[in-house]
Amino acid sequence: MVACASLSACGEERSQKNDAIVVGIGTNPTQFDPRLSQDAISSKVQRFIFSRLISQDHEGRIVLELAERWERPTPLVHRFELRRGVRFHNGVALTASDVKYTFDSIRDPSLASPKAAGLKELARIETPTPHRVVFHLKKPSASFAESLMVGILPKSAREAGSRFAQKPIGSGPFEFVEFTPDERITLKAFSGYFAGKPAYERLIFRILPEETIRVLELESGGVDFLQNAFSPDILPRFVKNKRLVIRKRLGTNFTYIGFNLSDPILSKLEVRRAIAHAIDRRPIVRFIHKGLVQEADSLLPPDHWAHKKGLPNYAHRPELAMKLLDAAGYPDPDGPGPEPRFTLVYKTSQNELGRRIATVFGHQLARVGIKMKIRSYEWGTFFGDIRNGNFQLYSLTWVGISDPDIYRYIFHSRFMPPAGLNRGRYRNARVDALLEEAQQSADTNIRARAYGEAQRILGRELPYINLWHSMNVAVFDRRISGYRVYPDADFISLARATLSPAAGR
Amino acid sequence: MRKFLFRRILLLIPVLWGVTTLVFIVTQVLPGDPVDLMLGETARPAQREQLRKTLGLDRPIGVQYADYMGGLLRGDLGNSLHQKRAVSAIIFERTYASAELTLASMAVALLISLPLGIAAARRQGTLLDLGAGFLAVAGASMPVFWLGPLLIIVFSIGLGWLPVSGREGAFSLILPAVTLGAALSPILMRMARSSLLEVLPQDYISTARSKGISERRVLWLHALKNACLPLITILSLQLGALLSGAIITETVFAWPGVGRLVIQAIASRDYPLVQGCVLFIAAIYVSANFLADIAYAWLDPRVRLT
Repeated sequence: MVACASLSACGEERSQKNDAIVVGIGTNPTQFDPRLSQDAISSKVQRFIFSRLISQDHEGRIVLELAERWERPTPLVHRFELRRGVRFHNGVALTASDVKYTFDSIRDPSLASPKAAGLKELARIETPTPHRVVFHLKKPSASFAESLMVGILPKSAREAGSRFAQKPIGSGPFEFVEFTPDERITLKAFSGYFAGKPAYERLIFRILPEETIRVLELESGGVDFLQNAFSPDILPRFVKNKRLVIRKRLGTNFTYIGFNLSDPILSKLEVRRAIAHAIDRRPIVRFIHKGLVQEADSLLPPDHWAHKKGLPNYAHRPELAMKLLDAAGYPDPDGPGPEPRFTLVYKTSQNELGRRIATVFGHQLARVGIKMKIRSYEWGTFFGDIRNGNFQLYSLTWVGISDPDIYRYIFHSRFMPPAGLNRGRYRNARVDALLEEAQQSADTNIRARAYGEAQRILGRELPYINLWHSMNVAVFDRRISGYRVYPDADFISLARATLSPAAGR
Repeated sequence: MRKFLFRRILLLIPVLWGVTTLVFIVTQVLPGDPVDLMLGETARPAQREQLRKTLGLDRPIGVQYADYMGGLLRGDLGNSLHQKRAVSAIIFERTYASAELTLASMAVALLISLPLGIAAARRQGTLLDLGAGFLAVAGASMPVFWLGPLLIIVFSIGLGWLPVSGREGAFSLILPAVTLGAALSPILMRMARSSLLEVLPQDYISTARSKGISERRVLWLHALKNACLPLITILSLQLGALLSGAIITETVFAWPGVGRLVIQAIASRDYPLVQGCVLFIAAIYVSANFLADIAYAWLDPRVRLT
């Protein structure tokens, strides 16, 4: 009886599946209001509901979205001409006043938007006509364009207040239908989408916290699409499955080891260089990541316009590492014996892959006489410690790096916590000057030169050990076609994908 | 009885107050800051202060505590920091899913454990008893994070009969309920067996038999009723544990119950939601024990509730 009933249920599901793509994700989005979210999954879901003035394409290039024309008559003025005929999901026309409302509200302290810091250089917004919006800056900012990549809300969101996020209205390719926490998010194709209605009716995100279940759901057809939501060990299993298609491309996620430069041991350059030489990334890349990462020599991936060629890449040289440690005043007290030169604490989250990699680092450092204690914490505690400078070594990943101005937030001496990302307390006046020069110039050549020099200094001074850039890997049902993997692992290409019928399942 | 009920209800107040106060203190000393998690690292100090003010986290701890307790007295558990909705509404949504899973898994556990426990007691020392004992050990040794995926591989992937995960209709309830029920049944079975073995040689059972009452009636009406008392204790404790969230099973089967809600609330440092969830869990435990006491008096006339 169970079999019969489930077969009929399967039949019904199959007919529904002909017009829906089901995406498996690991966590709930924290927000549907693009002004308030900062987690990756919220941003990915919001991309389908909201359109932006400008966005990035599959090569990471900035392209126009709601804007039809973008002019920069002076370094302090950005003028946008909006597309005509764009409507929100409730039928109301999108105008310049909605754009102004969106960015003004982000700057409003009462909203407490995490995106407000990116608009610090914005002086005012003018809307001379319903389809023209002009941003006036206080001083030139090359990274300002990235701050404009926020979903545009209707100005009626002001009246809705915090209720807006429960029933968000945008002008993107899909309309919000419902969100059941820990279960699913359902979106419906928007027939009035300015770039054309998507080729299928519904886009469903199923929230599946357990990796094994995500994989089994994909194999059983309960989910049609997964991207980066599985460990590298699983990929060979997908390769054998004829029903699935695999697409890969190098992404912009960057993993590193951070040093606390105010620590008496790690403040010595020789020690940091010794650690960099003691660590061998190759076996981790090959055996743990199964080749799905590429060794990094900078925050920026090698195909990025601002990436500097020929940066120092610390090869695995344990003998040199030991010499550097001796020179730093940390001789090995008992040679090859068990006594370490010194002990360091390495903090990481409870991510299983991260803990396995930490164990390998621990073994590698032990070979040069450094004892490494691994401390794995629940995310909130770990993040709190990193922000408060309560660490010696830690490892984390920067997600979706696109504009190199991120260097300023991470390494400029003005951006030490609590108001910045310079967690290791790195300080170098030359780097500060270069990063400011790059940020204020609109000339790509000037920026590339400044970032190049900054990368060279950082490579030499090692506030970070650059580990690797991750590949983005999408695995999906063969019925889906036209999907392109984005460098920042965005799913938005699904909006332009097509879906063939589920027959033969 | 009425006096007992009144006393127990009165006793609830200090218990729940104690739990609430303890959780309030724990959330204050918990490392990690909700403002950090909400605003990210690029926010300016003024912006942090603004959000702290908006959320009421800038007030002295004593004022926050008094405010929270005042809200509780009015039946208001506060609003979630992240979801910006009433905590009570969020918990209520999850309770339904948790109750569904709890009742179904208890039914599965009783369906497995009672017949096996009774059969093992009646045929003590036989192959059947040994087999039941083996099943109990096997069941107790299988963790739910292993049994769950195993059942999925067999019934969802292999046979294609049941959904892998999620909460969509009655069929999606079967695998999580069987997983949890299987984990619960060994202890119930062993308890049913040992209680029956204690009850069956007693005089009143011999008297019943000598009066010519059928064996089935002796077993089900006279023996089992008294043998049930320890089972009720276990069931009441399990009811509390399951209703407050079978976290691993809920995670494995993507079941949106209270357990996953608690984990998420802690991870995002959503203090009002954590406090509301813990208060809810405490209330569930206290109520389940309370119901067990009443069931004791109902089943065994020797128990007097005063």
